[in-house]
Amino acid sequence: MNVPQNVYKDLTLCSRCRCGFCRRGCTTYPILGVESLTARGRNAIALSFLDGLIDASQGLADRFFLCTTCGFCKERCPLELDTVKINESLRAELVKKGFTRPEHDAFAKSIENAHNPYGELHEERMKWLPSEAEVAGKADTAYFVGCTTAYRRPEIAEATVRTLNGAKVDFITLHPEEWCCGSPALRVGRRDLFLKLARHNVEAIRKTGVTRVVTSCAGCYRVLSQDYPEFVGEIPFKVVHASELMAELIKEGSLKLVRKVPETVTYHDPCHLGRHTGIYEQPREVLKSIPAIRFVEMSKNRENARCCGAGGGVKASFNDFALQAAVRRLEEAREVGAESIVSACPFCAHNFREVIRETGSSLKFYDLMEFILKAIEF
Amino acid sequence: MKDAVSRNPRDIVRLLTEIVGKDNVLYEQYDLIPYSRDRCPFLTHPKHGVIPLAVVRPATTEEVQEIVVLANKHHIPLTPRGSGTNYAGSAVPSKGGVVVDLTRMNRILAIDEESMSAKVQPGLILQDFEEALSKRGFTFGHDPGSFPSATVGGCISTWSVGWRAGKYGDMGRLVLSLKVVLPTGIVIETRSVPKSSTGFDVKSLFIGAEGAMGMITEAVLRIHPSPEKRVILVYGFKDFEQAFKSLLKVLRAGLCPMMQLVTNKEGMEGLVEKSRANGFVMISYEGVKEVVDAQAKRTASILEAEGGMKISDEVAEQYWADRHDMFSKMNLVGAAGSIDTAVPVSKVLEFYKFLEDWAKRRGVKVFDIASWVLPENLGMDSAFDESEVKAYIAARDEALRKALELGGTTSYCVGVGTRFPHLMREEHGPALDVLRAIKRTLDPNNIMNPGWLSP
Ligand SMILES: Cc1cc2nc3c(=O)[nH]c(=O)nc-3n(C[C@H](O)[C@H](O)[C@H](O)COP(=O)(O)OP(=O)(O)OC[C@H]3O[C@@H](n4cnc5c(N)ncnc54)[C@H](O)[C@@H]3O)c2cc1C
Ligand code: SF4
Ligand code: SF4
Repeated sequence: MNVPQNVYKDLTLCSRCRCGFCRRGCTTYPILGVESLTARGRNAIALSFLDGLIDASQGLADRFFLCTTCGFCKERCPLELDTVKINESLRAELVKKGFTRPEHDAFAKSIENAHNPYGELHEERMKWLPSEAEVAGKADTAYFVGCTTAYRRPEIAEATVRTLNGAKVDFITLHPEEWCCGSPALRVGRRDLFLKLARHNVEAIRKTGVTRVVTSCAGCYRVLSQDYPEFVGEIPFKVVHASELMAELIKEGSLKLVRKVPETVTYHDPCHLGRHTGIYEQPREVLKSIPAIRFVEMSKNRENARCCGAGGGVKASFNDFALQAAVRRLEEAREVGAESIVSACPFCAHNFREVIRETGSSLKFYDLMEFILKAIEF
Repeated sequence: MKDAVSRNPRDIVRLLTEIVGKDNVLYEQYDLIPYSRDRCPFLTHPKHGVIPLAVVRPATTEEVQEIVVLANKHHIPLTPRGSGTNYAGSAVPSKGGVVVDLTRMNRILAIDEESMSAKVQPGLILQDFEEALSKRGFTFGHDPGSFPSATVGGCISTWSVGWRAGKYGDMGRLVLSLKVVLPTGIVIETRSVPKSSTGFDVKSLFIGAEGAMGMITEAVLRIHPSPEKRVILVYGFKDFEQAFKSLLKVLRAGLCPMMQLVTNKEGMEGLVEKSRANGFVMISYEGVKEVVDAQAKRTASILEAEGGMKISDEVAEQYWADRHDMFSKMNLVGAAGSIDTAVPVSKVLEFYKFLEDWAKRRGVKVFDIASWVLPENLGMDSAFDESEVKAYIAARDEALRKALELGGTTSYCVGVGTRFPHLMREEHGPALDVLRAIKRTLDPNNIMNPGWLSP
């Protein structure tokens, strides 16, 4: 079997320990309540599978796919095992053996053909760009939009561009050379496809000569800042998330949040931005600098934040599970009296908005970039 | 005797499904594998454990009862399971059969603030319980290393002991009453008062029974007011002996710590690198502020008079913060093997010296030798290579026998499981027959976690 040696070593370590600290707070475990949906359970199955005691099957593969790769278990593990990496390695192995999800097959095909997972036309990737937006011909900064933002949550892209313009940050976009960042491919075990996308994007960015890439997507941010260097080697540019940039611009006075927004607001940490890359404070700093805002924390926040339920290919394949997880999270926002829940990931946005729509919840969802627009005087 | 049903997994699955519905019966190999092992690593079970025929996940006492009646009729072994965190191998279906996963029964049924008690289901995780209580100004006070994962039912069934047991008592003392489905399917419920004089204590048959006497489906537990304050003191001493004697001085002064620990140097590794001390005492108090302050002051003056060197509060806090994780981290070095022995206080130092020599002689990597929670509880954490399991077991047995020779017990927590049933005759003598007679009476068909109580 072909998983990296360190993954096998980690599985052995878990099989010594089996403390089960990874169960409590797991996003998908409570939905069915079976051990095979926990990191501990999956690790045991993986070891049996890799040791040749059990054959792969679709049912087995689905246990590995029913995980949002949120990293809560990794945070809890006393041995600091990279449970997300373990699962992704096993997914890759299962994909090689032909055990995939049809939904993942479909989005992988669309990425191959149209550079985005949604079956949309590549030419329309920038359809959202307002005519009055100022995009430079040459600049030090590139805005990496990302597929979910471009095709599903264009309001985030629009807000980002308007804010950058307002703060006088010159930027370019990469279109038509911006392809899917590869996050959906990598997360569901399609490593070959991911590598192709990563190599393309790194090269496209390198050619522009920018020194900094900013993205408003948590998934793109994780992939660009962590997975690209790991899989394709050192990258010749710095990657920042929009929330980091906004916090910096506010501090240096280039972005002024002056209008009062007297709302009770809480912040949901996207897994890819929080646990995966350690950005917890900047989005909070941005929100707290808005005049008259009442900022409240949910009881589970920062590294303890619950996942919205959408990541790791779960929304595509098991939407009911994704929605149930989001319902639980919204309940936590309500418990602390929030009127609005703000996050910094188009995928979280997509899931939360669907639940709010379906359940008729009175909570409002905003991406951070959308929300700060309320406080900017243009 | 086994019948046609007990030999046919399909029949078992069908009958279980009739009781709990199809979503709550697992039978695919990949779903069963995670239930083939508990925390017990390589000592008693090979790397890949024992796979049950099926796993069933009841939600009510009635469902548990139906499952037990079915199993009793067809002589199918049942293994109750909480979170599978015990390291005695007692939640593993060693004799095959069906694992009864009780984690769906994880609700707090009632909190009675006036009586300071709570009625809960057995699958409730300690940390969930504690978080719910703290919102209402209460604490449970049971804090084993497995606090983030262990269940109430598992803790009762292993008679677990935790960091805060000095003040609140071990798990057994925290139980006011139990509802239990007996192996024949009869449901009993004991009275929710601390004691009665109407016969011997029936609930105690299930405390520490490792699931062999019946399935606990409800428990009424004592709860306590949240403490106003906690202090943790750490002092370094010349060696373990001096540290231990200083602890005894504190106890003899009439002080009752919430937590007490005496450990050798290894037990503080990474925390107090530069200290000259080779033995450490850690004492903690919690409760009413003025009382805690007075206890801490008196304790500090006793330990200082005994030559103790105060270790910084940060070290104490760091140790406390890491208390649930530290036990697992040993696995990074090798397979962890813990000896949870207890001997009379007057024999602790003799046993300590034995363990030190023993570890050197046997080449066992020692993490700590520590007296924990009660001065009698002198245990040792060590690591070994999986390829040396047999040698480790032989070495371990030598240490356990020494504890017995000194008048102690092989295990003050976690249980016997499949770790050392062979030592139970030495530990109990003819009393083992008493335990076994009770087991036979309650479980004539020997279906309930059949193991060392029913060889
Ligand atoms: C990191 C770590 C630290 C630990 N630290 C401590 C410690 O400080 N102190 C300590 O005492 N132990 C400790 N343990 C051991 C373990 O946590 C305890 O034995 C705990 O009580 C087991 O709870 P569980 O829910 O995991 O039970 P399981 O392991 O699932 O089961 C334990 C036993 O109880 C039986 N059982 C479970 N539920 C029921 C029920 N409802 N009815 C009847 N029988 C039942 C099972 O059949 C089995 O025999 C530690 C374990 C780990 C992993
Ligand atoms: S990554 Fe998240 S969903 Fe997946 S097993 Fe870990 S905690 Fe559960
Ligand atoms: S927390 Fe880590 S070591 Fe413990 S069971 Fe989970 S993955 Fe294994």
